[in-house]
Amino acid sequence: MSRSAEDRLARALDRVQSGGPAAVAGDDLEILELLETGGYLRENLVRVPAPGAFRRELGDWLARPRPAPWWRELMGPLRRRVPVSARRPVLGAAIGLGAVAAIALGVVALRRRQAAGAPL
Amino acid sequence: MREMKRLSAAELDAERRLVEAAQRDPVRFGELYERYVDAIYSFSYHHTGSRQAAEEVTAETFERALKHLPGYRWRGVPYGALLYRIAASVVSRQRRRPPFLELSDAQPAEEPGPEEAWLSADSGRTLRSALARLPDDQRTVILLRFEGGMRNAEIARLIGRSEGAVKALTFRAITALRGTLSREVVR
Repeated sequence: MSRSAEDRLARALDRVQSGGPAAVAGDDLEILELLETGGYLRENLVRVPAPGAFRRELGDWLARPRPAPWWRELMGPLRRRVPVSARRPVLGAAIGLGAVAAIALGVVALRRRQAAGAPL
Repeated sequence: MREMKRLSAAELDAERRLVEAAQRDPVRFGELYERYVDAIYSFSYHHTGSRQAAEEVTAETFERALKHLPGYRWRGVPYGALLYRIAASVVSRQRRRPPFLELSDAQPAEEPGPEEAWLSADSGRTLRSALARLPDDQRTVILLRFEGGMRNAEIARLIGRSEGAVKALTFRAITALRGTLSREVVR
C-alpha cells in the first residue's frame, strides 16, 4: 500500500531531524520540494532569547513569596504523610464525596430530631 | 538553531526530581524558569510576531505554571511540554482579543537583541510574514516542529490532536509556506 504524501513528508522530516540525509531514493519531487522548505525553516527559524531586562523582572516576580491558600495549610500534614506517587485523584474524590454525604446525612438527622421534638 | 533539548532517561529523572523539589519549595521553580524561559519566549515571539505580545504570553505561561505546580503530576515527559501547551493556549486566547500594538520603527526597543537582528534580516521579515498568514493551528505545529524540535507524536500529545491530524497540519502548512516563500528565497 502506498503511503500518503503526509506520511511520506512526516517520515522524511523525522529522518532529517535525526541527522539523516536530506534526500533518499524513493523521495518523490513533491516531498523533495517540501523538504527544501523544511530545511529553510530549520535554518531561518532561529531561537529568539528573552530580553535580559524582561527575563530578570519576570524571574524576580515569580520568586516573590506567595501565601498558600488556606485549605492548603489544612491539607499540609496529610500531604506530607502521602507521597506524591501514592496520591490517587479517585481516592481523593471518594473521600471528598464521602465527607459531603456524611455532612448531608448529619443535617437531615438533625432536622428530623428537631422536627420530632418540636411542639405541635 | 537550538531546539528543545532531547532529555536522556537520567536527565528526565533529574527533571522529575527538580519538579518535585519545586512542588515542595516554590523557590526551586526558578530553576525550571531559567531552563525554559527562552524557549517559551521564542515560541511566543514567532507565534505572535510581537515583542510585547511575546512578553505577555511568556509571563502568563509561567504564572499559570507556577499556580498549578502543586497539582502537577509527572507523566514522564519534559516539563517544557506543559509550558508549550500553556503558551499555545494563551496565544490562541490572545488572538481572539484586539490585535497587539506593535512597536514602530520610531520607537526602538530599549535593549536591541537577537530578535531585532532576526527582524531586520530579509529572511526574517519574509518568514515572519509567511508565518503570520498561516492559521493558528498550522503555525503552532510548524513552530513546535522546527523551533521546538519535536516529533509528530509529541506535538499530537501537546496540542491534544491525533498524530494523523498533526501530519496533515504539517503538510498543509509547509505546502502553504512553499507557495508564499518564493523559490528564490527557499533556495
